Amino acid sequence: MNHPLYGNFRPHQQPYRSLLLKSNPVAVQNSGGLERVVPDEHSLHLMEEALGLYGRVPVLSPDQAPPAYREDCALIDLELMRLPLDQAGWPV
Amino acid sequence: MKLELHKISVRELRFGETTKVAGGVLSINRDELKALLLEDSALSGVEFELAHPGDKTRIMPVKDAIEPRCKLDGPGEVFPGFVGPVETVGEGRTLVLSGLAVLTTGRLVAPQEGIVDMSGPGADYTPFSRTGNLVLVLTPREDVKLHEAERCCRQAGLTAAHYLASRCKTARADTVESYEFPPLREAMGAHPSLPKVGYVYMLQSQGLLHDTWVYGVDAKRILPTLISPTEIMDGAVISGNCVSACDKNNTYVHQNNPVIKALYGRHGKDLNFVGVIITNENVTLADKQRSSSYAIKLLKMLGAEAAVISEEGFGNPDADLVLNCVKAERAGIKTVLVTDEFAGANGASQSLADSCVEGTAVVTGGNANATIILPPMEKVIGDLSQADVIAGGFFGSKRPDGSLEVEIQAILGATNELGFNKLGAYTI
Amino acid sequence: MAYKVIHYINQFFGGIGGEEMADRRPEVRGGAVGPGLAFNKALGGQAEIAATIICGDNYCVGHQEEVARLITDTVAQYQAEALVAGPAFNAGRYGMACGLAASSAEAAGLPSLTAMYRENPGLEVYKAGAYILPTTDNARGMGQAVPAMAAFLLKLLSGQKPGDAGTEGYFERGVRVNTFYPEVGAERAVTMLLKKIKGQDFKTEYRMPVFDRVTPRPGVRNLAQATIALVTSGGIVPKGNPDHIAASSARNYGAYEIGDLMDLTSDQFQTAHGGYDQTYANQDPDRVLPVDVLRQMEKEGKIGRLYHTYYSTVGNGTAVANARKWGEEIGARLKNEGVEAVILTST
Repeated sequence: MNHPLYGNFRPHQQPYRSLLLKSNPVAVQNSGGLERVVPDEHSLHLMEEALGLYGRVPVLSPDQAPPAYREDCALIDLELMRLPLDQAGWPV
Repeated sequence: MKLELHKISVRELRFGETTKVAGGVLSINRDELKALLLEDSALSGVEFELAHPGDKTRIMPVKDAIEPRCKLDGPGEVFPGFVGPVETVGEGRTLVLSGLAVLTTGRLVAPQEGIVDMSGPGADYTPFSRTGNLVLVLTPREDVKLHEAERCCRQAGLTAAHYLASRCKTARADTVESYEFPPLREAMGAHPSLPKVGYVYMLQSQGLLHDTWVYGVDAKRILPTLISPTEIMDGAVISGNCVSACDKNNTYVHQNNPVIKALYGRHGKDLNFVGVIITNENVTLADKQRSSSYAIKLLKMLGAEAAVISEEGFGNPDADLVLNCVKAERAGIKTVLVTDEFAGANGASQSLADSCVEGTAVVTGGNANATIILPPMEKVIGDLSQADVIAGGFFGSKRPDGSLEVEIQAILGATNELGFNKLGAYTI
Repeated sequence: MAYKVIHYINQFFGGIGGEEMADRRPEVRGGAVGPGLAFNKALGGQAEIAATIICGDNYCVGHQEEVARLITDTVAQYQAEALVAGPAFNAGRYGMACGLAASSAEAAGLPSLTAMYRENPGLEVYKAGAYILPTTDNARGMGQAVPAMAAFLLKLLSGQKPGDAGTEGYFERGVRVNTFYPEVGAERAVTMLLKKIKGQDFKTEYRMPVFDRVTPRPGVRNLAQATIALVTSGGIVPKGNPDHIAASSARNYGAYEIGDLMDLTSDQFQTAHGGYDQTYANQDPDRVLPVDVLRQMEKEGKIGRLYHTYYSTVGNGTAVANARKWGEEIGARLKNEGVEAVILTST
């Protein structure tokens, strides 16, 4: 529901990155008649690319950042989720 | 739509008794401007500083840069929705004080950079080392929330820029530039032998401190739409993007959009510049899908054969860039992409967060992770505590001799993705 | 005054011996050895090899930090101004060693380069860290490789900033370098677009990486009836490694019978992989190739059966081109034999 990467910060600048995922249940007919959750391929692709990036670069963990910095980063993380949360029916 | 830009060249800024321009010198009445800005109750203080090219001065963190403009005639006023009413702009005559910029600084959040060095090695990387700068050092009221603080800083820059220009209406222009954007029927039929080229203008729209405003509307909420290039010149698009100095589009670069300038330059000679489509860069996948399909549909409706696509930001918006490129190319519209790169300090990492084989033509603003040593400066304007954030290693580090080793990501406008600068990169 | 250069070569080119000497500790000899003599000739007096480091390929790969240190020490000792390694042609471990040598030297601020064949796994690993020139796939190309390397080395020594890979002839390093162009980006964009529209040649400033995407197959419909095969890059082979699959930069894979075996034991199987501590895999090869678990699943009816043949190679520094080729071959063979799915293990 929100792209796993920021548009401006990089992993060593922002210790928080919240991801919003929506379950995508699809009824699949097989011999068991089970319902399965099928990942959206494009979403999966973008998340894999993002994970690849996080694996390649230095990452800031929250305890490494000074408190004021951390708080501001948490606020920005929330703000950038505002629109998708709104769209999901959970206005902040 | 026809717009004339009446440009007055300013090479020096001074404080004086009256705000006026004469002989290339802009005089600024500090008290009058201060009183005007403090009418916004969310601001508790504003100080002014001047910085000229060659000064041993560093300004940081810079939120926005705005070029002073105002309408001489024609409907509305510049910066519609903020200074002017929401009336459509882009026609008539507009006064421009060129050669200078209003820069806004002040602390909003900790992780915020945006360095302008007026001299030294850092000066090569920012366009604002070449403009005379009136720096507004802004202090929002303590009890004001972040949304409100950002708004009042944004507003202050626009108000100041308009104020400066509007006090110079009687001065004679040094140059006059004329731009025309004819009705679509005419535009699409003109120059039949020349290829029709459109411009897909991507605007950052992720959320607070990462926003852009169009006629006062948050770009998150728009569907991609047509806009006249002359409206852009009158400040219809405003930056609310305060983070990632290197590739945020300041209001100044929106006003002086170089893609529009380049396309106009070849219009009627090598190409038929048929239109500008603004689109956004929302965080949700559904919005990205919707906006990219819609923007490319508009391109097709314009009959464009080719398009320039410019981006704002890195990472998240790379997905939008790729979607726009793929959909355009598959519709038979040839594209060139203007972007920047985050290829790591050693330049060996993958530059973009997404890619597509259709992206065969790419112009880059450079690798934002490349590092530079910025020498200590005699004067620092703005919020000195930002130097600690940099020293904390988030955007760079302070060396024992007081110089800063930073990634050019921290320098204002360094890797601009409208192609404002000469910086680029190549692969070895 | 001629520039002083250090030359890094392996035991074979150092005249010490072949594969049996691959564990040879490094030694430093003054002056040029082996291909170094040809280098001196090609350098034409402008530079000369002050000393040669000769090191066994296995030793280098297994003691990388030590060898890197020796290189920097030798450079300091001889006050050398550049380093050249190889050429390694298609010798995988030698390519890795040369890549290590050249990139360590470059990281220490020294002009350096090496050369190898395009499929040498050392290229993929080290191309970002050092200039690597192309060679033929075997030492018959020495006559072309050495002069090309010498010419490029002299260019580096003269302080000239090399142009891009296309112009200069080295393998593209995939490293981005910032530069100021004469025109602003927007102008460059419109110029490029016009060329693209007209169908003319243009040079993009950034080439989009093309990813090798494999579409996943749909899931196995009925696992309880399926034949599953095991394939591994973890190097599990019959004891004695009859096909001599190399511990690193393997040039082959093997097909081995497990017949009705219920699990793999250390008296019949071992690992050939040089990229991890072999102790635990040798104690119980099932840890890398889980025959025991699959037999159990067979017994419980969870899978149809475990196929009687497994395929194995060593995935340590394997050339991507080989991996792709072998994958296609193994896949085709297994498919032909009615295998429905494969479990790939690696380390």
